[in-house]
Amino acid sequence: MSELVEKFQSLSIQQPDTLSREQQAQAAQWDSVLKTGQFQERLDDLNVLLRDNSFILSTLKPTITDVNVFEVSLPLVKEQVFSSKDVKGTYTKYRHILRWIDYLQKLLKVSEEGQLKISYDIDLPREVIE
Amino acid sequence: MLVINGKAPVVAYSEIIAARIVNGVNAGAIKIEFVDDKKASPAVFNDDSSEVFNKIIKDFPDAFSQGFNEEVSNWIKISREDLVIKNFQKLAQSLEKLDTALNLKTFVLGGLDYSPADIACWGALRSNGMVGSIIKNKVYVNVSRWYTLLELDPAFGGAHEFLSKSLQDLKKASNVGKKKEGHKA
Repeated sequence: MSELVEKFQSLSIQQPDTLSREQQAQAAQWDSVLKTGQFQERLDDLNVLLRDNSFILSTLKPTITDVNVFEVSLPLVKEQVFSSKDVKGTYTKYRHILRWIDYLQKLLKVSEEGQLKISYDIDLPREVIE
Repeated sequence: MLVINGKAPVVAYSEIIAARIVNGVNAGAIKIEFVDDKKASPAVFNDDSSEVFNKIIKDFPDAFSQGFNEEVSNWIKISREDLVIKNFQKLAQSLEKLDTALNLKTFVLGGLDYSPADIACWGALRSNGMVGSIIKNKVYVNVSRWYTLLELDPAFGGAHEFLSKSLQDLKKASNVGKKKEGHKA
């Protein structure tokens, strides 16, 4: 078990008693994405999912699926923000993933140097769904 | 004791939610009663109808993840003045501000849990009949995501059912009273 998963479980965050079919399918989908290592290509999907839902399985509190996906996302997105010449553009593109990463890195008390420092004052354009 | 007017032009949802949160932590701490009277104040807390929401937060600081501070106070003002209005253009401007505030944040003040600022804003929007379809249509995506999250919390999402059920009970009780009187005569 990873350190982050252990930390998450030690927080005793209430988990849903049962998951709906949609939630189960969502969880299975992300488990399989993580197993196959095809995560980079799914960042856009993840961003849209986290645009409409605070957490991956549309739950009130984060679930283990959030923690597992977060573990892979954090270094990847951190690298993208770091290496980006257009930080505002990267923020705009992945704004919902950034929100969710910030929530989980605080919840799981990721060390200062491990965290992705979020600049809250970047003036993001309003997002309009076509 | 908190008395909620179920027929107020702006139903005091924030106050109902705050009281339900307090009672969730400390059962029965705030007795909630209802009246069905257009002329009554939207909410009366311990015989006082002014700043009811603020008083509930201040009286029960342990029930809320952030107590009362300037930022909270600012959002309470915005929710009272800007989020209950039914003029679409003005409301759109206020929702856009809330949407901007929710960029990169799960809750209005950031942080890991809702604060009284979320309760004030959510309650104001819940009372506003204009808002339902705007939320559903994701006109302001951050607002829709945030609103939908809090709706999953029974203190928020169950507030309307609690209100309507309490008002039904009130009506039944008053009808029973009337029948009894009729019987006597």
